[in-house]
Amino acid sequence: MSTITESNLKHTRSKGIARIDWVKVGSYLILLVFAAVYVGPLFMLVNTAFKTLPEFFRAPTALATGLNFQNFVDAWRLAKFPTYLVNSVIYTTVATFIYVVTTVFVAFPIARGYYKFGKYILLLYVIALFLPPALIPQFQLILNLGLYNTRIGYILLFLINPIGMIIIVNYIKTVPRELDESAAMDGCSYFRFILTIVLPLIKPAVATVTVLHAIGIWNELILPTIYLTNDALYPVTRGLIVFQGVYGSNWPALAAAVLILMIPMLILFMFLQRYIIAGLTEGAVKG
Amino acid sequence: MASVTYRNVYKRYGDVTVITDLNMEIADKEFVVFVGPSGCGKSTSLRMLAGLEDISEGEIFIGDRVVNDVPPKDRDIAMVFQSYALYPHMSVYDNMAFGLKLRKTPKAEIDRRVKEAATILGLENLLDRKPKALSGGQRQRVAVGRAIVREPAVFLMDEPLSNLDAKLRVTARAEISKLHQRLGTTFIYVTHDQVEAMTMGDRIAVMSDGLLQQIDSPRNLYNAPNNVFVAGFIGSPSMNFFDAILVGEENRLFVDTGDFRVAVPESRKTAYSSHVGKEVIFGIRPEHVHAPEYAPPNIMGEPLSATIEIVELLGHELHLFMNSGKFSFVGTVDTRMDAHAGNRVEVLFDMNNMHLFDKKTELAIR
Repeated sequence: MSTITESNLKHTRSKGIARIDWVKVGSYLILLVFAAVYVGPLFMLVNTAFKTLPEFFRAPTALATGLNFQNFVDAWRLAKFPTYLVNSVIYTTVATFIYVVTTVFVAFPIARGYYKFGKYILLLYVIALFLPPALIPQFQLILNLGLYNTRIGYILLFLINPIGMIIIVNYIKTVPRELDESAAMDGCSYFRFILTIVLPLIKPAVATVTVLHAIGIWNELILPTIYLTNDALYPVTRGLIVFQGVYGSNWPALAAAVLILMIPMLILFMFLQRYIIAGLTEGAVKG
Repeated sequence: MASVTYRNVYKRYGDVTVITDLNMEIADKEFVVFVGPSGCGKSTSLRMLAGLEDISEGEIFIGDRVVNDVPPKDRDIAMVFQSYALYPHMSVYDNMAFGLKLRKTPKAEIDRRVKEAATILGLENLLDRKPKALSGGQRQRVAVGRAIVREPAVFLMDEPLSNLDAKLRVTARAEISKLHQRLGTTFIYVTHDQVEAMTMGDRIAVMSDGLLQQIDSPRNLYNAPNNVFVAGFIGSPSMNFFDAILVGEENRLFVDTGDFRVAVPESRKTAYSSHVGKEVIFGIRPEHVHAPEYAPPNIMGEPLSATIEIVELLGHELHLFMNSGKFSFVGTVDTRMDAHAGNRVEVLFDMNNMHLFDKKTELAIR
């Protein structure tokens, strides 16, 4: 018995060596190209951030000769990071917090069908997902409300986002309805139920929505350019414009600034990522 | 501690009436089981009592108080759900303490009650665990524990054992019965399992199509079912029914199915006399079908010959699925009987245990 197995094994092995799996080789090559497309710009960004300006202009794509941290110092100073960072943190945390909490409170009764036309309200959110951004009416609205060029006005822009609502509604549907009833019998109020029972149970969805929304606000460049003119209210993205000159841009400092800009969101993502992975995959297998 | 009363209760969803004119009085400390097939309205009746469903018409009392508009938390009840409804992110201790915390019960008192309930249910070592780390049986006990700590006037249980395996269900059943004796509180228990109903309830409310068919002690339900539905629902295997005509001949009564004819005992003559010549449903339980050689003495055995179609030996009993020509029926006979599929045998119907129902109304004739 053992000899037969041995010879069989040898046979298969020799067959394996003789044949090259071209499909596999091809697929790895394609993956390699994709990886280069994704990683390439990131690598260029890091590489540029460590170059001096003359070095950059001599050969923009060449490898940096040393680690030049001066760009980060310049970026921090020129892009007014200390002020703008505080602004960005305020906008991002306040808007994301209000957005997530209100979304959960709105999503729960929709998911449960506790009000009559909940289904249709959700449909409106889905439709809104496909509509183009309504810049002009939105601008008029903010202007007429007297909120143009104010922190509140700017935060207000980020309090609605259909995708988060859709994710959270669908996730709440996986929370058993008996928990609502059990809590009702325990004497739990609606607000307390949402905060102490529902929120902890939908952590993955909340984490996903938080990260998506926070990154969106943090990286927003168009809206601050439109709605904020006061230098003291700019978010950090707006500060990047100083590196763009009429006669030439300070690319290494800009690259350094972009890297600094990325750090907080990277940290947030790392903190929440274990929930996010669960949030995106869960529900797929639950009946 | 409290009694529960349903008075002319209706439940409607739009045009569909799911509970019709429910009237029931459940005494203090009584253990009542609502039983019936899926969709019969048993859970809805319980949920109306719990305050989880509105009452369309009528009144529900807990004690002397009408609770129609009282929110669930103020009804002084606790409920064990079929899915247990444990909070997944809380430990066993917190699950049990949650309701008390909301009621602002002092911490020491919460601790005392939770620990006491844990001792009763054998959960002392599991208090720090999350529900995910518990077995089905343990989860079920936590759900019961959560109800116990509330010290409610009425316990409501909605099919609490249906997620357990058969063996565990038997022990859990006994535990709940013991708990009822120990706590001396009113228990209302919903199940579709007639064995649970028969073994646990002081009284059983049999429901079907939103109607209360009969509420009585397990013994009375078994011996004197009110109608064909109750007769068929209680007992396993269920009662055999034969469409027949009640015939009076030479001062005796006979049940004539067209296939066979069996004599009615003297003692029932007066009760049945009004139905002579009418269409009836003749019922006999499988356990009242005997093999002649092993039939107990003193029965009024009416012979009938039938062909055995299937033989099922369960160890302690032998089920024979037989055919008398027009009718198929089941007999639970003595295991010593030498029975084989295809054999033609003679069996005895113990007519002292016969049941007779009106064909039109399906009500028992007594």
